[in-house]
This record gives sequence, C-alpha cells and structure tokens, in this order.
Amino acid sequence: MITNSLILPIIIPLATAIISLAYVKSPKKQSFFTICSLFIQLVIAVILGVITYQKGLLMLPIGGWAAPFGITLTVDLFSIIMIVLSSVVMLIALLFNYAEFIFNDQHALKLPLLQFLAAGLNLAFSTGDLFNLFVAYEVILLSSYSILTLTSKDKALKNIFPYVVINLTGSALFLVAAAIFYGLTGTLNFADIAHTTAAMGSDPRIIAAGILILTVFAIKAGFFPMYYWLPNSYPMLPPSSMGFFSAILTELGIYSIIRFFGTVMPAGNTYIYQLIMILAVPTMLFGALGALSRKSISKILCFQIIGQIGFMMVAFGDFSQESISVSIFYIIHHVLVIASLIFIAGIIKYMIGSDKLSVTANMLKKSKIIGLFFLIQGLSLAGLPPFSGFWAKYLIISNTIKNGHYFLTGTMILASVLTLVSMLNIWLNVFWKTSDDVRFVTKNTAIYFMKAAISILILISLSISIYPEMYIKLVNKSAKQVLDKSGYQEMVLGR
Amino acid sequence: MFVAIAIAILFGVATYLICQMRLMKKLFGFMLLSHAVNLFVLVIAGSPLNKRAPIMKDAIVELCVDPVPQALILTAIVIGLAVTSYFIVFLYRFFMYYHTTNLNIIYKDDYE
Repeated sequence: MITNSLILPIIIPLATAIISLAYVKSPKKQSFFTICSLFIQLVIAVILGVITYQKGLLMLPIGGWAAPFGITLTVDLFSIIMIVLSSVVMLIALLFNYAEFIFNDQHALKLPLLQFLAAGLNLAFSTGDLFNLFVAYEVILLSSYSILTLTSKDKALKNIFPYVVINLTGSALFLVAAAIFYGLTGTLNFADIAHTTAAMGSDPRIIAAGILILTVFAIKAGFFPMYYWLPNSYPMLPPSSMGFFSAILTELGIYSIIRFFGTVMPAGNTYIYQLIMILAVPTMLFGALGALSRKSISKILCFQIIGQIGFMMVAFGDFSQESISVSIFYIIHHVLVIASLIFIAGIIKYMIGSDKLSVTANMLKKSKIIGLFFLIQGLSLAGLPPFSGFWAKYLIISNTIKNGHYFLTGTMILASVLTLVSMLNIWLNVFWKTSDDVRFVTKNTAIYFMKAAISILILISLSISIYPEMYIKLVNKSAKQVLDKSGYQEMVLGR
Repeated sequence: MFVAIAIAILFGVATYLICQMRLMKKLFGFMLLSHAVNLFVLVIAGSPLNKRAPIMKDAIVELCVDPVPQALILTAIVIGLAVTSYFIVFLYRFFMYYHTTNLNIIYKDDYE
C-alpha cells in the first residue's frame, strides 16, 4: 500500500497536466486547478518523506516485474527531499504566476507544460533505472524547451538556441553512456549495475562510461566549460518559471551525480572525484566574476547559480559521507535562496518595468518589505551569519579544511566575497539609488500576493538559519542512505 | 567490424554537421546523431548471454537476439521523433524572424 503510493508524485502532475488542457480557454480556472493539485502533491510528498524518514528506503517494482527485469522506483530520503523541494518551489512559482495574470497575458500551455516538467522531475528523482532516468531527462528537456520557446519573444530565440543545441547533444551522449553500461553489465537497473560493477573493480571501461555520463549531468548542472547556455537562456523566461527552472533544474544535475556516483558506481574512482573538484574552482570563480559583469538583476542571479553550483561540487572531492551530507545541505539552502531571490527580482521587474541596473532606483522608499526580503536572501547567498547561507558555507569550508584542500578553501572565500560584492551592487543600484525618472506600476493586490508567496520561501529559509541541527541531522541520514550500496542492493534485488 | 566503421562515420559526419553555422546543417546533424546513437546501442549490447532479459534460457541463447536494446532503441526513436519535430518548428520560427539560416549573421552582434 505504501510502496504503491510512490507512483503518486509522478501520476498526479501528469493527470493534472492532461486535465488542465481542458481549461485552456479560461486561464484563471486552469491556474486555480493546478495550484490545488500542487497542494495535494506537496502533502503527499511530505507524508512520503515522513514514512521514508522512519522506514528507510522504499521500493516499487512497476507492474510487478521483479527488480533486474522491470523498472523500479526507489525513493530514499535524498530523493524525497528533492521531491519536496521541487513541489514547494513549484507551488510558490504557481502562486506567483497567478499574480502575474494582472500584468500580462500568458500562454495557455504554460501551466500544463510546467506540470509535465514536474512529473519528469519527480520521475528523475525517484527512478531506479538508468534508461528510465534518460526518459525522465527527455520529458524534462522537452517541456523546458517548449516553455522557453512559447513564453519568450522572437528576439529572445537566439539566446535559447544554445540551450536547445547543447541539451540535444547531451541527451545523445546520455543514450551512448546508458548503452555502454548495458553492454558492460547486461542490466540497466541501478542496484544490479552496482552489484555487477562492484566485482569489476577499476575496469577502465567503467571509468570511461562514468566520465561520459558525468558530462551529461555536468551539462545539466552547468559546470565550468558547459555553463554558457544557462545565463543566456534562463533570463528570457517570465520570473515565475525562471525561479523554478533555476532552482530545481540545475540541482537535478547535482542530484544525478550524487545518486549515480554514490549509489551505483563502484567506490574509489578517485580520478573522477578529483576531476569534479578541480572543475569546481573555475566554476565558482567564473560564476562570481560573470555576475559582476552583468547589468541586470536576473542575469546577475543566473551567474550566481553557476557560482553556487561550484560550491556543491567542492564537496564531491572525496565522496565521503560527510562531504555528501554537506552538499545536500547546500542544495536545500541554495534552492530556497535562489528561488526567492529570482521571485524578488520578478517583483522589481514588474514594479519598475525593467530590471536593468541603470533604470532601477528608489526601491527602498517604495517598499521596505521587499528591501528586507532581498537583504535576508542576498546576504544568505553571500554566506553571512546568521542566515542559512552561513551554515551551508561554514559546513563546506570546514569540510575542505578537514580534508586538507586549502586552495579550494581560499577560492571559496574569494568567491563568497565576490558574491557579496555583486549582491551589494544590486542593493546600491536598486534600493539605495535615488532618481526622479522611475515610475512605479501600482497594482497593489498582485504585489501583495507575490510578497506573500515569497514570504513562505523566506520563512523556510530562515528556519534553516535558526535551527540548523534538524536539517543537519536530516542530511546526515540521507547521505548515509545514499552511500549505503549493500542496503540498496539488498532492498531492490532481495539478496 | 563494418558496423563499427559505419557508426564511426555517422558520428563523425553528425559532429561535423552540428559544428556548421547553418541551421539546416545542424538539423541534419542531430538527425544523423540520433541514428548513430541508435545503431551504437544495438551493436554495443552484444550477445544476450549473461544478460538479464527474462525470456530466454541459456540453451537457446545462440538462436536469440537480445530484446532489451531493441526496446531501448524503439523508445529512443519515439523520443527522437518528438525532439526532431520540436527542433524543426523551433528552426522554422527562428528562420521566420531573421530570414536567414546563417548563424554567423544571426549572432553578428554578439561577436562585436
């Protein structure tokens, strides 16, 4: 009974998407219906989370086909953390989207596509099968392509084109990597791959296939050489979708790396771990420096996403339980902070009509609350105490010092300072600068609604900063589960 | 052996076409790339011996082909159809806005 409900986070968004297609003529009803369904999804995800916390790994063989033959859904604590996070951010994004109706018309297919995206994400977070993960990636990518192209103007197409091209290449590489794993091990089930490869030791073919699949996940996450598409394409989205995309879609790459290299690949691939760690340095620095070079809030924040991805990669350096748990903690903090910052940027964009730093001014006079929100989350992103970013950065930096990677520690502190500078850049130009030319759009009900939606995210984020022990306990437990290969195989394969 | 060379040629041609600065060549490059990948899946899966396909016993394994890569390829073809049709519509919209298929002209402003 409980294991059957693992399918619900995938089925409900799919059903919602298909039913809401019937409401394309009345967008408000469609939006309301989707928000109600999202509440149900969130409740189910939280209930599943509680069950997973008490019972450990949950497994559902789809269609009753036992593990190595059929597709299995495996949900452990890390998966359910990601599913809950994605449901929370999606709910806030839809509430924000509901308020956006006052400002502009929206494409009728946007909400169904967002629900398809959510279904694909939940499938990617809960699947236990390599080929199924490929299918989930394709569902996610196709819906994200469609959302990007349907909601953007014609002149934005040339910014979206690199996103489409690099991800098409990425999915071809994914299929190649999956085929190599099938050829090597004769199976696509995660647990069975782990079981077979454990006996093969450090076979160079396994490492080659691992690096190939790492490339695919790195494209999705935006690692150093492959991040070019991200800061160009995401700012073309409307703020509601942009918040969701930048918070969850990049984290999907990090999730897949932790899941695949933690649970599936044989331990001790030191080359791959060190490669990830070395790539983290330019990722952090280029992200932070790129943020300084941009002149509009959403583009600065998009470069900040890349910089923050670098911090999560640092923790992969030795793939120990501590490093993974620190990285998961950073993911939780980062999703909440970056989503709320992008929604705040969205409010500023709607109030002033543009988010270019040369145009914006007077924001603090107009709204103290938005200033407070931005201050909390901006300082949290930079990692100043007492906000959630401080705990995340403190844990990561103390982890690297413990492992003796002093160069990385220095880079991280430098990147944090640069992040702080770019946040202050926004603060000075948007909130403190005074100008007589700025005219605010006054549509108070929509703005209040947006503020209320963001305040939920900020409250969750503040709960991390006030009471981090609870989250640290949670991530320690989930990291232990991720690295527990024998427990995973015993659960899935029954041996 | 010959199949391996054919796959190598397909991958090479696809990579060459994707790197060109013309929209149509990129489209054909991705179509060829998906063919190359599908053929690759079929070949690298190898013999069904010691694999996990449930329908066969070891005695008749010489007479069988492995069903799993065929299922994978079928799925990949369907997904590839969806992605290719999306890509064609995207390129059509791209072309109707800029009235050129030359990416050098479309991205001219970015180089300067």
